Amino acid sequence: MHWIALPLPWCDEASAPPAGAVHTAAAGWWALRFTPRVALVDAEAVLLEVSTTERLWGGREVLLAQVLQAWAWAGASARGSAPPAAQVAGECGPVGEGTAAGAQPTGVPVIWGSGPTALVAQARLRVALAGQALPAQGPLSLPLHTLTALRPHVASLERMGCRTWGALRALPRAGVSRRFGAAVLRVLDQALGDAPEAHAWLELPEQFVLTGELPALAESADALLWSASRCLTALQGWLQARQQGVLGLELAWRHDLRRIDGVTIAPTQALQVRTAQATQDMGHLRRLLSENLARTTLAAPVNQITLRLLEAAPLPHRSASLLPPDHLGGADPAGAQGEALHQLLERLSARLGEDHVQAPVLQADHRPECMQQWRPAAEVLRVTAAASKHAAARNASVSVANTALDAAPDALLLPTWLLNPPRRLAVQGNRPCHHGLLRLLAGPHRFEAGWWSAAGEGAGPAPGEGALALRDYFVAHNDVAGLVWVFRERLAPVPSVSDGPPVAVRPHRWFLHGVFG
Amino acid sequence: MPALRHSLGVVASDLPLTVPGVWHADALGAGQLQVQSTGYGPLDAQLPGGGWPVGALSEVLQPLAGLHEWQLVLPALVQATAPRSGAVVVVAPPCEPFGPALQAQGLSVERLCVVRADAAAALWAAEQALRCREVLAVMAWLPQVQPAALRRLQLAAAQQRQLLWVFRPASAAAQASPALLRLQVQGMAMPGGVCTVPGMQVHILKRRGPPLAQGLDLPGCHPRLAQVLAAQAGRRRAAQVDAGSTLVAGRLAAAAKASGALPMRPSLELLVPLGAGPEGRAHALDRAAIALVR
Repeated sequence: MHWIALPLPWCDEASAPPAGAVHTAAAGWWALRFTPRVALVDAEAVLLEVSTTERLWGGREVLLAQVLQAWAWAGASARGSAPPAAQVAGECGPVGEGTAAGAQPTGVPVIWGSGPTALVAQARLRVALAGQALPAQGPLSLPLHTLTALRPHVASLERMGCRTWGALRALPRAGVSRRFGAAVLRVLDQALGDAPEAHAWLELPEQFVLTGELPALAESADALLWSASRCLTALQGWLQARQQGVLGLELAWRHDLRRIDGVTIAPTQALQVRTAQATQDMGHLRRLLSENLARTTLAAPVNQITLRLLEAAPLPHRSASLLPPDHLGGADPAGAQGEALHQLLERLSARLGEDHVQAPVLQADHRPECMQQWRPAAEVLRVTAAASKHAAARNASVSVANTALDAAPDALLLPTWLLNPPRRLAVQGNRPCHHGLLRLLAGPHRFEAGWWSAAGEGAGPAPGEGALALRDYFVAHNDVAGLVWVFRERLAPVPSVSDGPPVAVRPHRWFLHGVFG
Repeated sequence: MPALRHSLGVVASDLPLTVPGVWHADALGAGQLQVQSTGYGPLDAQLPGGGWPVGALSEVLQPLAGLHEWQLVLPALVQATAPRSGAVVVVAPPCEPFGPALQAQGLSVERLCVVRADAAAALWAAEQALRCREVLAVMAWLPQVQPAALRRLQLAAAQQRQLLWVFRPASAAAQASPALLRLQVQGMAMPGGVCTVPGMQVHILKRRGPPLAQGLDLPGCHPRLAQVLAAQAGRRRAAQVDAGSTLVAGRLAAAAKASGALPMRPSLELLVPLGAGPEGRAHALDRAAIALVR
């Protein structure tokens, strides 16, 4: 058995009554990635039992260095971007430069204690936190006050000249048991490894819900982000231990006021963030939250936030490659620098709005304006990612669909730009004008489509979607506008007119529908 | 002048030929530039390295936004996206890119992503897209961008080695620009009577190499469309010749006189049947024209 004891990263802020317990529990979550046996004792220390996992991490020293670094990160991200560990040590007591104060990789001393039993590790941590030098001999020379159960009796024991664990152990057991109770001896036995210890192991909740009181009333949405990022840190620990990634997240906040100027305010308000791929990247989630919060106005000052995990998916760890990473193939996408496409699309959508970041989806239709639909790009990406997974199993269906779309015989003659809705052109004589008179080069190409979607009324202000389309398309040109695609609207035949030309009443309307750009 | 050229030649021959980053002023600077072929032989021959620079800013100036972008850029885009996966981000385009047409010309539509944004947001979006490793190319329409902002884009493109085109109005030609390559594109004026296939003229304003005095003439539309246009022009000429000799000419002339004072060529009259024309004629013409377009 080998135990490592560390002070809680933010033990000084565990004072908030109801939320404190939750926060304290979350304070140990970061340690679960090193070993499943993590216990919080006396609301002041995190204990890790590492004898079963230290070989996995490459030995005791390597593991210790990693634990200390993780602890420093947990502490630093818990208080925003403060430099790790120095403040924690300062608040917990004078920093002892004793044997237990190891030098952390970033150069800031971190206080820790280790030993063969949990109580020895905790005792050494307490000695180090108090700034005293560790006794050179084994645990028998540790002072009595380092055991929590002995604290009520320290004064009387000291009057008997009994100051260390060894001295207490040397006393006759029956007398000690009669005078101080059996619990004292049991704790001493546990501390020295003579009796088994029982711990309440730290366990992750099934659902991640973290509520935090704000240190001050938040007036703006930006101020929420600071507190939200602390919750995100806890979420990261939860995800890493569960090996899951975020798909959906909800940040809710509670308003401090019930009504402003007589207008009742909802007690809480929430903001949902979703990602296309399961992620543990808190930086990306933080950016998404900040983009969304930047567009949110708070109805009232906020005094409490709740971060809730809505949806998660298993995120298996990538298996480490046997070969060193090469820069030629690019076979390791996660190792490459720069962000992934779905992250980019989500961030663009978060700032500009979903309907401003779009991707086309082709439809089988004869009307040019119905041939493609614009959908939010993040959504399209999600769909295609799912489709490509299925295509890996059977890629025949996708290729069939593609060839069906490619099969349009004259798609090469379509313009590369489409004006939607079509722009009405002025007419001079019988010729359409767009930056001057247009010369018709090819056509007409007659379209008569859309009769299935709406009953007539193709003579609106502009031929809209879904209406019956009766058009003659021409390729036209002039020197300024270049090659353009125009159409002349044909009017629906009027059945009641029996004699004479039916459509001579109204001049034809011309529309610009595309540009060969 | 011959003496000067001679002396230059002497100096040039003294220089070591393979100094990285140094090229002779009278030759194109190739260097270690990674390029993507434009798909047009004459243009490739005039660009340093033989194509669009990868990981650098190419600026394209146009009199009117939306005229020749796809025609100029699409062959390179198709070649660049074919072997690798990755998206093409189109930032603030002048109108909608038409997916079916792009798909038919070889650019897969699933790769396309369009960002609609105003000027400041467009710049931001373009820069963000350049920082994404799964983006192969960025096309951005930035009419009023500052040179400093272009410089940022240039640096961002260099990081992830992407293709970047920025389209700006021709009035920006006088401004300084950090772009590695600046082109000016305009449509070629078609002589009025003779109906040829419209082309585009590319002037290289800036490149690593000597200035190019005259522009390059490139086809202005897809070869298939050019074929159709040429065929229709040929048919129209034939009809014109016919019209001179047969009775139809007289009928057409009469119709033209009757239709108004607008001087209209018989060819156009043939092409655009007026609504009031006899049913039989319009029907026959339509059928011919549809067959032609197909």
